[in-house]
Amino acid sequence: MLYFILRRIVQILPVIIGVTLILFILMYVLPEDPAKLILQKGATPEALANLRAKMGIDKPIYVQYWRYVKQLAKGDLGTSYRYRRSVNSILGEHYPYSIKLAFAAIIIEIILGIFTGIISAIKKYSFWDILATISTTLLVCIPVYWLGMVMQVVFGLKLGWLPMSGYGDGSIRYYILPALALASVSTAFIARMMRSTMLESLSNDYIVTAYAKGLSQFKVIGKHALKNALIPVVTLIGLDLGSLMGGAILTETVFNWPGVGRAVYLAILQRDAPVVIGGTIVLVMIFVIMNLLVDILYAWLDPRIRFERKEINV
Amino acid sequence: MSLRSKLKIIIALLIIVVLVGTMFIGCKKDTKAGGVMRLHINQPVSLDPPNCYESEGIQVSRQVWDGLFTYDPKTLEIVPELAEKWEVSSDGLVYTFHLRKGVKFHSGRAVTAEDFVYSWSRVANKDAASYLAYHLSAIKGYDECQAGTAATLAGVKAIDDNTLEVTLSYPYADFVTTLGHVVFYPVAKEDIEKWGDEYTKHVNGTGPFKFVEWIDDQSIKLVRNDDYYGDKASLDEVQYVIIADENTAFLEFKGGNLEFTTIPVGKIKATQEDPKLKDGVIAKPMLALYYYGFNLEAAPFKDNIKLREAISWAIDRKNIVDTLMEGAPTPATGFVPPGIPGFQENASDVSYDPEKAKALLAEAGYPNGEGLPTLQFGFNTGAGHEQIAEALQADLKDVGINIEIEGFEWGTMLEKAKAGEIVFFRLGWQADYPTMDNFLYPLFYSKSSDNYGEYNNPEVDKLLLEARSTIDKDARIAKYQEVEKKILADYAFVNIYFYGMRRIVQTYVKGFEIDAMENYDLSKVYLEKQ
Repeated sequence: MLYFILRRIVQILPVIIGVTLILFILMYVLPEDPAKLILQKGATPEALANLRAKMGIDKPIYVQYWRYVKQLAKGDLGTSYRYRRSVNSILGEHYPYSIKLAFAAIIIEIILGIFTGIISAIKKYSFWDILATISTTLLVCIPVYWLGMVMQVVFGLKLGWLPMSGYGDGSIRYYILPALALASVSTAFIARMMRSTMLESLSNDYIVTAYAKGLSQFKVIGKHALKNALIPVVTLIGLDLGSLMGGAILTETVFNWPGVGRAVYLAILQRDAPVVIGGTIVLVMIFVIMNLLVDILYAWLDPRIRFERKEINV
Repeated sequence: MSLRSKLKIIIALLIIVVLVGTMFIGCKKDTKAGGVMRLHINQPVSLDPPNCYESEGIQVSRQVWDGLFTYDPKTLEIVPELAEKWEVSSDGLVYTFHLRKGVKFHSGRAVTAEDFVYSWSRVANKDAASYLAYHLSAIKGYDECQAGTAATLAGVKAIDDNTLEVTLSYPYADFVTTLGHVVFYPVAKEDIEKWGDEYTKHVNGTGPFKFVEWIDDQSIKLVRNDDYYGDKASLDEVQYVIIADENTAFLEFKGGNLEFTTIPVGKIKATQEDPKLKDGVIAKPMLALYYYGFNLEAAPFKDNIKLREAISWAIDRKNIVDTLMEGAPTPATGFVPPGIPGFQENASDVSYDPEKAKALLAEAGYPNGEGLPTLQFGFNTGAGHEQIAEALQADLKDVGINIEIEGFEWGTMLEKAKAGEIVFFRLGWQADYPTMDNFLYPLFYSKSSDNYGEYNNPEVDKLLLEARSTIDKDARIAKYQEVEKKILADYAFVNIYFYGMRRIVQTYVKGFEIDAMENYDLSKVYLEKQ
């Protein structure tokens, strides 16, 4: 297992190099001059030259890239063109909010999604199963930003129950609407997958044996069926968490959540390359780490995966 | 009833009246004191004066700092703040400003003339690569600072702690008016040395509100400066709530969580008709123009004034303003917007007349548009210009002119315009200060870097330079007015509309006055909440 983990960590390096190189080239070949985007008035040739030198974009791309890689090796993600502040500090200020919202959304997905899927499977074709099917279908179809705006109007403006936007004082009430909106589609997918895997698990012979032994439904489902049914669901949740921690642009924009998704989106519009590249690098690393954690969890959940590896190694 | 009993009753009643009366007196609201005002803005780029170039940063900075001058909210005339009085030499080159005594930075240190020397040199210095350095271009020593051969502006000197002398490279009669811009605010050298690039999050001003904190993408908090040299503000606190999406901000306003915001496009008419909201709507004209430029050095517009005139008469500006923009702006009748001293009502007689446009097109050598190639029209994306471009396309098609509309990033569009790759393009201009020079010189002086249309008229150049050095205000304005008439007569551009504000403020906010440059002074504001 240790060798497996170390190997996966080493594999991150070429991914980082590939990502930075591709993004650098993409930002470079775009026709937009970041200096001109900022200096909209009074853009004399001297002023533009000064600004390009200050931004470090007056050198050839390979010089810029090499300088960036050297900085990156020291953990320095560079300086924002637009704000002239360290990208580390900009992302450092925004990431905690994205992470908190991501975890809030995941908790909702886990609780609602898994619970709904289990009930749907146990009560197959019942009223609850049909209700779950219709609800999850609707959630998948409704755009997140529209759902978010409707929730703002209904629960924030009309009823006044919850704040409409912002992080506020960080209390739970500020998380509810954005986390629900963010979790909506994934909750639906998790519920559907949970139903499907649970039904498959419940149809196995060992489940029949467990019932025959006199175990209660709670023990049969909780101890025997659920663990196997959870394996693909855990994968989905893990990947989803990785994706959410990269920031949710639409949700963050609608709910004015100060996360990294919105920050990077605005940086793209403003051609603020250091923020775009820095944000993407951090996202890639988070995604890879989450993938690794999911693989480890996978191995723990399914001993066959551990034994399979041991058999191959023999 | 005995007299004693009656007296007891009367005394008891009197006591009750007095007690109840004092209750009401005690409960009387001092409606002018205290409170927090919450205003919506987008994330500023910077609060540091050299890079405070966009509306958000300017709004905040104007509360945190007082500069040498500010602008009267009604007349936009210059009003002295830190400059108590000033003199100008007879040649118009040397300005001497006598600073108000007793003014301090929020850190407690007294403001001196040396602070202005340091601050302005810092802006002009090449290493700063300031976004706003060009505002100091008239000051002697600016070119050397930009070239990196000088660290300080030779033309700015502290005669003593309270006397600042500024020498210009050329006479510039509107120079004092430009000093109301935020770029001229003083900063303390010790703060810059301490904070460096992070100074923008630790600004230290001279104004009626002190900066407290800026939580990125969330809020900026200011508190009343109780050591302010002038009239103290009524508000205890100002919160700038940073919201990227104006629809979300508008919802918050309707929910009572903001006192000031922007009305989103598409909701202006509904808001103006909503009985709960209409009284707070602010729909004043702004000092900003929406217009289309021609590349005057490229075919087919070069030397073809009739073609340019035909396009001008073919556009239904009223339709654009009323239908697409919900009546927020006003059709442009010149180049310089109302509110600028010297504004000329109906400087241009152009209106919507497709028949006249067709006749002019024929005179231009393209009867019914025959022989005229399809023109490429460029606009900057991401700001809602596509709809107006489509309206333009339809109007021109009606008279026989075909255009292909294409969106570009702003900088790309300007580069293509300068390179002649696009000969017809959308532009906009907003006043830095309320002078005709600020509209005419940058855009029509032949050597100006903002002259995207490559307009080159030696007479106009001469008039602009003469106007800049004309001390007498009326004579100066007369020259600028002549310039405006010439550029209109040359059909050097197509004016479309003067921008209009689409702001809204809660009705319990009193004393709030926003000028045509969208500046306001929160030290005059109080909340009259029940």
